[in-house]
Amino acid sequence: MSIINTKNFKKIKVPKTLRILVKRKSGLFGLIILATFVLMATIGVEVIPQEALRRNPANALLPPSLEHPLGTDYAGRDIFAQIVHGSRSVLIISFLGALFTVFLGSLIGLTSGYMGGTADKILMAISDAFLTLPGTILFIVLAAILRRVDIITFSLLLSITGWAGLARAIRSQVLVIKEREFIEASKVLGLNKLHIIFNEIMPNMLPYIGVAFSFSVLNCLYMTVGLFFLGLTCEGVGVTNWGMMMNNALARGVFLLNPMGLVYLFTPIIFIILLILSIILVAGTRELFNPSLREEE
Amino acid sequence: MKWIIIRLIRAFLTAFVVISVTFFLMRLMPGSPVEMTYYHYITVLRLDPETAKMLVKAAYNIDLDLPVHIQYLNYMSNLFTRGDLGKSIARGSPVIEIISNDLPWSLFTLSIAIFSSFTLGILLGSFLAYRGGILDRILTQFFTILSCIPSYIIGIILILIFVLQLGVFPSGGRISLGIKPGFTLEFIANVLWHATLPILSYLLIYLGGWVLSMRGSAISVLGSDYVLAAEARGLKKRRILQDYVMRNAILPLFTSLMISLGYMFGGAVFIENLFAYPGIGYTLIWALNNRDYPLLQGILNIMIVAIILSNLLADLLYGVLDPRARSR
Repeated sequence: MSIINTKNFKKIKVPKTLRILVKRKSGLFGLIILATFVLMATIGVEVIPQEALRRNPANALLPPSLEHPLGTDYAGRDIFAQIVHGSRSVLIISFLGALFTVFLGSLIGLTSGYMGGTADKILMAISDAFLTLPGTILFIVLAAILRRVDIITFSLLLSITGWAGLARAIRSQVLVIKEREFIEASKVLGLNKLHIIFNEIMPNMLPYIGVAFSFSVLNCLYMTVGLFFLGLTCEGVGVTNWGMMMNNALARGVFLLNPMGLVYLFTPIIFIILLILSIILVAGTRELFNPSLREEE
Repeated sequence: MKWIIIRLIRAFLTAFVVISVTFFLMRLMPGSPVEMTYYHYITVLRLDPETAKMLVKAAYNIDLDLPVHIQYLNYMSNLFTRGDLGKSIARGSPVIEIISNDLPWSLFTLSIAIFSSFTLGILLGSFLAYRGGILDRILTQFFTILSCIPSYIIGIILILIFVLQLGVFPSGGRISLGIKPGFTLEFIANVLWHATLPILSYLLIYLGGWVLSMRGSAISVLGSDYVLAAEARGLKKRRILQDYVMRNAILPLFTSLMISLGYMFGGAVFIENLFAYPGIGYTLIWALNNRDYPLLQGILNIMIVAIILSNLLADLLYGVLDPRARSR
């Protein structure tokens, strides 16, 4: 395997990563779905008025029409509007939660692996303790008790246990890379520690970090939607959420009487699966995170 | 022998630290549950502060007049000497009693699901790795997607199919009314009938992960020299797959099997609530909704101890299976 040149890595800018995705059909497909979701969360929320979310018993359980593309729920709220308004918090939280997880995990893994000695032992003991915590459950309990947290704190709660596994994986990779010649060379050149950690070792970790990031997005999505699915709420995060839609649909049991109840139940499910699929497809393009797999142009 | 003792001490220390963390979390968090209960007694139930303090003490094993570190010492000594986790606020009975009533049901469904998904997973995974080709590619994609679909969505789909459309399984509960617990055929059949859908959900949720990791592990074994040598010796395909590939590829999966218990509890919260199956995950959310914090803290502690025990078991088992690990 060739040594990855950090100079090469720096040249990769956004257009190139996009080009890689477009070249692979599955990557392109995933990117299109993901872009639609982002549009939905940014422009869609502004375009579709808040009034569509208001309860209006006169409009209850209307079938799909031009005015209500996916019909209305048992309280007369537009189903599509709920999906669009729910998408913003779901996307922001999943992304931020994954960002925090990966940031914490890489930072601790890199430091622990490179420093070694006592620092390494202490950091690994801490991650071992966090690995024994049941992550999903701890998140649900904390979010439900701390009801009024804002989106940032909420995302931090999502990363409360996820970082530990990544930190261990990165540490063991650092231990291997540390012994390679180019790190030896950097040391001889007298480069400082921070430079070696972030500019020499870190680029080699990017494939791991990238994959961990996409799995972390999926996990955060699972936990956030799950929290609302259980009927628990977090006021700072907003009331309209895909999980809440599923919880309402099941709790009211409308689908037993009216086919529109089934539409209400299945719409969030389909959108969640679409979002998951798009993330898998984009993350499945391995060249994206791993520069050494890219073909030379 | 020494490595066993070291592992035991480490497990005990981890349990101690993590239980301490949950104590301080419950005690020192803004709007801490203990204080909330105290103010609830005073403002809503209009009790005088003395009675409220006494009730808080009975529920949490915590005396609010004492400084926090003394409270902590009392809680820990009660827990470790007598296994006393306090009293449930909403139900009035000791927490340990509620847990010992619910935990076996969760362990029953989860352990059947863990072992069936693991067995099926290693069989399918090694088969896919050995066979390769188009079938492998299609099924690998399928299991990748399956393993990423949230547990509650799989549960909802199973409910819609088996409860609402076909009506072959009950929609909730762990036994039917009027069935006497005992070692009778009727009782066992009824218990299994109620547990089928939760177990099937767990199976579908975790199968994908096992298939994929077994496939990965088996592919790396397939590339090794001894498999090539076995093929060169003209051994039967079945023999190679069973004795050479699977045996070696399973080894790293055993550790994940034990460690997976922690993730299983996470899934149990969703599945047990969806199927109204009163196990530990169901009671946890019940405690959250009823602000029954002693019960909540007790369940968290029991889960953490269970996870630590299974990690310990994984460590010890791995040492037995692979002698090289002992020296680490």
